[in-house]
This record gives sequence, structure tokens and C-alpha cells, in this order.
Amino acid sequence: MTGQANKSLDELAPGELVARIQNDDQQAEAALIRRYSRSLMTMLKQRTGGDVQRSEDVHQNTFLIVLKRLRSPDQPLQDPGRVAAFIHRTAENVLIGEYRKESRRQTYADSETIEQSKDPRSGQLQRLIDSEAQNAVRELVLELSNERDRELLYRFYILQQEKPLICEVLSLTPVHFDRVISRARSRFRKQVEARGLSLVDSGSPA
Amino acid sequence: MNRATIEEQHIVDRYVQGKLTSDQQRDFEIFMLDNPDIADQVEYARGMQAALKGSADELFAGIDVAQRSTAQPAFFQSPTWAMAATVLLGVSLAWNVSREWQAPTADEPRPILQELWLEPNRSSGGTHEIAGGPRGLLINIDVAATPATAYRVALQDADGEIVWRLGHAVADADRLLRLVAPRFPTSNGTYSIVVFDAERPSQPLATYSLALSGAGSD
Repeated sequence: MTGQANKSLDELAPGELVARIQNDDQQAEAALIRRYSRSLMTMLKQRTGGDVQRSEDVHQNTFLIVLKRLRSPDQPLQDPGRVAAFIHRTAENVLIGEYRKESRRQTYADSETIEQSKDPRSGQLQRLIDSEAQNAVRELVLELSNERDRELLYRFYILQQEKPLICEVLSLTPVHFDRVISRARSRFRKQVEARGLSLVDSGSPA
Repeated sequence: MNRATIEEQHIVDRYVQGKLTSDQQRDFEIFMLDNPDIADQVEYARGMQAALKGSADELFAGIDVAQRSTAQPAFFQSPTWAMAATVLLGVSLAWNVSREWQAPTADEPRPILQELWLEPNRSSGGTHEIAGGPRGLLINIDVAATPATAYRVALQDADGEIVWRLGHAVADADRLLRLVAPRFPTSNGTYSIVVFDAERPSQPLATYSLALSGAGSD
């Protein structure tokens, strides 16, 4: 497979990709995984409270089921263009199945084990990322031009208050609120990346 | 779901905070599957929120949210409690939870309570600080990660003595257990909230540690 061929597969519409998989195109299967893998891991980490090990297991089983179904000529998707919705539903079912299995085994949530499995980038690298992320937020908060914007971040991110309440309490327009939040997020990402780091997983377990 | 909605409604941040409804969450996740750059935004939002929380005491020192009021003062919060507890000002504590408990609807009046949010396992191992007093404790437990038909919940003191327990609690549509502990601990110390699957109560699904301070004060 050449890079050009990969590129063309990656640019196919979801429905076309599904059609190729139904025709036993293994490169199309790889393209499907490339396309959806990263987002699926992000979703699963959110659903499992950051349990990376469990997320990877569910990720793996989800794609096994999805590909098996897509290959099957007897059970075509009703709407191949909405393959993302099918992947989503499958992942939810796999996740629920995982918890049911665990429950049947009468194991329980061992918090220490879960803490240890939260992020595979353990040790020195993770400490570096955490430390630099702390530095990045410190800089962005220090850069804020006024106290009200600092309180805005505090209320939104720490107290997790809703936008209408914050705007009312701080006498802000929604536009100002949006600008401060957007700038903070943008500054954070730039500062992390300026340190040569990334919070995005580059690879997938698939 | 589209990019404009995601931007205007701060969906990425609210997703990370677990504040989307079930429908919003599903729609957003499907959109994210088709748009991996949104997943990147989620990862950065998650990292930023964790870093802000980790440095909150330092970065937001001196902010006194209680000094400002609105026409509808719903919450009274301090930095120390920010991660785990809010005080609800409202109507009186009137729920009878001695029988089987069902999740209240959104329209039901909230009693005067401290409110404690417990996320699935994410918070396990950490300690939530709460202040004592005559108020009850409203406990919100995110059970999305540990689905069960019904749950048992117990509040135990450091010796394992049960202060309060609930034999049958059902999660609401957002997969939250919303519980009211009417018998609030009266002495300072460490307590645990233990969650079981009601059908398999031999092993806990999760345990959360609470540090109670200021018992006896309002």
C-alpha cells in the first residue's frame, strides 16, 4: 500500500469505505480503524473515568464486532453512511457487557489498580506532562488582564457553574465569556505544544 | 450536533465535566467519531481542567465567590470545597428516604443540603472534604461506569459502623444516583460511602472516602 493509496482511502466517504469492506478490501478495514480509533479511545476514556486498560479492551472488541458485521453480506448496515453511529452503539454495548461480566465474577472496583491503569504514560514522562500542563495553566491565568476573567475561569472550570449564571454574576456578555474561554483553551494548547509535548495519543491499540 | 453548536454551547468542556444529557452525549460522541480533531480538543480540555484543578488553590487564591450575589443565589461555595461540595440554599429538608428511594425529578424542590458529587472510580482513593452540621448530605454518584438495575449504598464511619444506608436506589436517566443521607454524621473524622450492586451485595462496586470537619456547626 502506498501513501497515495492510503490517502485516497482516508478520503473516502464512510459509506464508500463500508462498501469496500463488504467487498473484502482489507486496506479499507485498516482505513476504517485509522479513521475512528483515536476518537473512540477518547470516548472510552471518558466513559471509564480514565481507565486506559479497560478502554483499550473495549476498543479492541468494538472493532472486532464492527468489522465482523461489516464483512457479513447477510447483515448489511441499514445506513452505511452512519457507520460512526454503529461504532458508537457497539462500543456502548461492549462496555456494558464488560461491566456485567465483571459483576458476574464478583470482582469489584479496586481503586488502586484503576489509578495505576489510568494512563500508560507512567513514570517520568507522565510527571513531565503533568508538570508542564501545570506550568501552562499557570501562565495562561497570569496572562489574564483582569480579575473578573480569572474568576470566570474559576467558576467555569473549578466550580463548574453554567454560563448563564456566570454571566449574570459577573455582569458579562455571552460574547465576552466565549472569548475568555476560547482564548484560555487555545493558549493552553499552544503552550503545551510549545514545550514539545502533546496530550493527544498518537497511536491506537487496534 | 455541529461545530457551531459545539463552540457556542462549550460542549467540549461540558462533556469533560460530565454535564451533557444522555442525548447530547451520544450526539456529541458520534460527531467526535467522525471528526477526530474534536477528540483532540477533548484531550486538551481534559488536560487543562485537570491542571487547573491541580493548581486551583494557588491560581485562584483570594477569589471569594460568596461576595457576589445574584437574584437567585443558588450556591454558596468556597475554594476548599470546590472539588467536592456545594451548599444548596433552598427549601427545607423533607424527603423521607427510609423507604425505597427513587431519583427525584428535576422539578422537585431541593432541601437544604450539602451536595457531594462522586464520579466513577475517578475519585476513589481520594478524600472528599465535607463540613458537618445539621444539614443533610445530598450525594450524587455517577454510576455510568458501573451499570446495575439497583444499588445499595452505605455511609460508614472509620470503624465500619453504618451511619446510614439505603437498600434500593435506582439511577436516573443521566446514570446518576441522587441520594439523600438524612442522618448526617455528628462527629469529625473519616467516613466512607460504599456502593454495591443491589443484586450482588457481597462486593462493593466502589468506595469513596470522606473527611468530615466542623461537625456541629452550621
